[in-house]
Amino acid sequence: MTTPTLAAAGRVRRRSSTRVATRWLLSRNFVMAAWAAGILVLAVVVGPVLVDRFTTVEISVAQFGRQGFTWFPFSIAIITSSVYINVHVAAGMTRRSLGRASLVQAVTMAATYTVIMTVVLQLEALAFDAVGWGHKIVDENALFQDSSQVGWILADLGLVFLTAQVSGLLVGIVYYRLGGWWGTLALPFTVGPLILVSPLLTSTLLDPIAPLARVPLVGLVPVVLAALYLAVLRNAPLRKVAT
Amino acid sequence: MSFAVQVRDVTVRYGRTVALDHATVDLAAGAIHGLLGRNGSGKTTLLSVLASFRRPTSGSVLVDGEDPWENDRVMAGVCLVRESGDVYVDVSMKDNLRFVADARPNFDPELAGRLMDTFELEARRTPSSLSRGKKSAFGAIVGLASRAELTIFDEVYLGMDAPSRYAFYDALMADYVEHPRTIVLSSHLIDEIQRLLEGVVILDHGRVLLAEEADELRARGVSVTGPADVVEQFTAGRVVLGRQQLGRTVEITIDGRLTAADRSAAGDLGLELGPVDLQSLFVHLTEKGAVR
Repeated sequence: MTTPTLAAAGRVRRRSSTRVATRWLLSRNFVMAAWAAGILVLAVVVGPVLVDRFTTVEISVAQFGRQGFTWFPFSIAIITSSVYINVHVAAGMTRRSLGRASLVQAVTMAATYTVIMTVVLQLEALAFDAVGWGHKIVDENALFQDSSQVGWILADLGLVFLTAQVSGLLVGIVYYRLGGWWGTLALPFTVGPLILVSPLLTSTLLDPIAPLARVPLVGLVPVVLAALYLAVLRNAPLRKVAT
Repeated sequence: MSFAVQVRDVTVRYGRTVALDHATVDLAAGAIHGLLGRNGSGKTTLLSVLASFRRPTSGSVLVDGEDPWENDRVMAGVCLVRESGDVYVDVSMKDNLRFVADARPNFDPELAGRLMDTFELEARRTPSSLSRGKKSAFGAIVGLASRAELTIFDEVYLGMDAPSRYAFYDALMADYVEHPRTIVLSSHLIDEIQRLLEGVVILDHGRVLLAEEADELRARGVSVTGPADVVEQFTAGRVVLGRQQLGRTVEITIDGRLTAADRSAAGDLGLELGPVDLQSLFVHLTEKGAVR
């Protein structure tokens, strides 16, 4: 059994593995979020200047970041659950703590991307207004039609970005655990909900439910995906590393 | 800082394949154990079960008296390094070590730094940019510096050149003497690791063929060398593990201890008696049709 340990010498550090994993995942994700934000800002600055040379600028460039901020973090989340799991468990931490940490990371990063894009949209609207350009929102799948609708922007982006993060985690762990064939066959159930989130918010699919009432309803989508993710992760055996 | 291990009647199946077949074995705390077996004998599967990498299909595993599966305390004290280790291959080794230092309660950053120098690894590089041997060396560093109560190296020496392997053995022994813990080495390089081992477990086709103290195992076999007819006469009726002949001289390896009278008789007959190294014994015990 346990013989005298380093604890006796006061050197053992007991740390919450959830905290360790959350800090690690957030530190990696914040670096990537900074790059993504930098690219968005660059596009918002350079795009209109180029367009202005040929025609009148009438629409927001930042609004297209909604797609980028959906699918880029989605792909990073796939890597989190399909690659980081080996590193995490091999470092002596439980799958339970990985589940908690990756979901905390998902919520934090979704909020971060939401704030970044909301701020960029507002700054872009101010700048466009100052030089006399138009700032229309043309994305029909978005819950907001104007950059002044900050509440709707936060609700729309928050829901879509969070669902993207959790969907990515689920896709990754399903591929990891079930392999390529089953992972691909399961895509309608793992990515399908993400694709449905925007139509559920904006199309006639949920008529006659009012848009405001749809938000908490559609908010159940990432909750269900998260529950599925934790269920698949719970007993996942570690696959062999490729070296 | 040592965990004992009790494996009871453990079976692991991958679909129709039985990787471990009702395996039962104890590993004493605070000793270096060798886990030997041919390819596909179930070594990695057994080690994966100990480290909670996978659950057994049936049977029970206790590490430090508790089921290790999803057990925060036990998992923090078990470190399995598979080949080159499960590390972030596209993140610098410096950041990898920082992560492991956060995760492992007993991690020694000074030891990690010294070993990085010993194996000539640049901390800013990523594991994916390293040669196979250097990757293995980094895995070994993670395993040693983690100072886990149960430290397991599964073929961690793959790709390492001889000087690196001996540097690893030396580092392992030096740290083990200062910080005794339970260590399991799984390797095909039996000749190299046998001097380190205090206990030996041999797996064959998913079953535990034997689990003994290394000294007892070494004393178990005897090689008898001399003229063919005399050796044949001396070994008649004994369990023969192997036979090699060169001209009229034959060497027969027998299972079991010799009495003082046997040794005296062998001397009178002009026969040479010698110990059997673990590798020879292992080969004899695991070859097809071997007498056990």
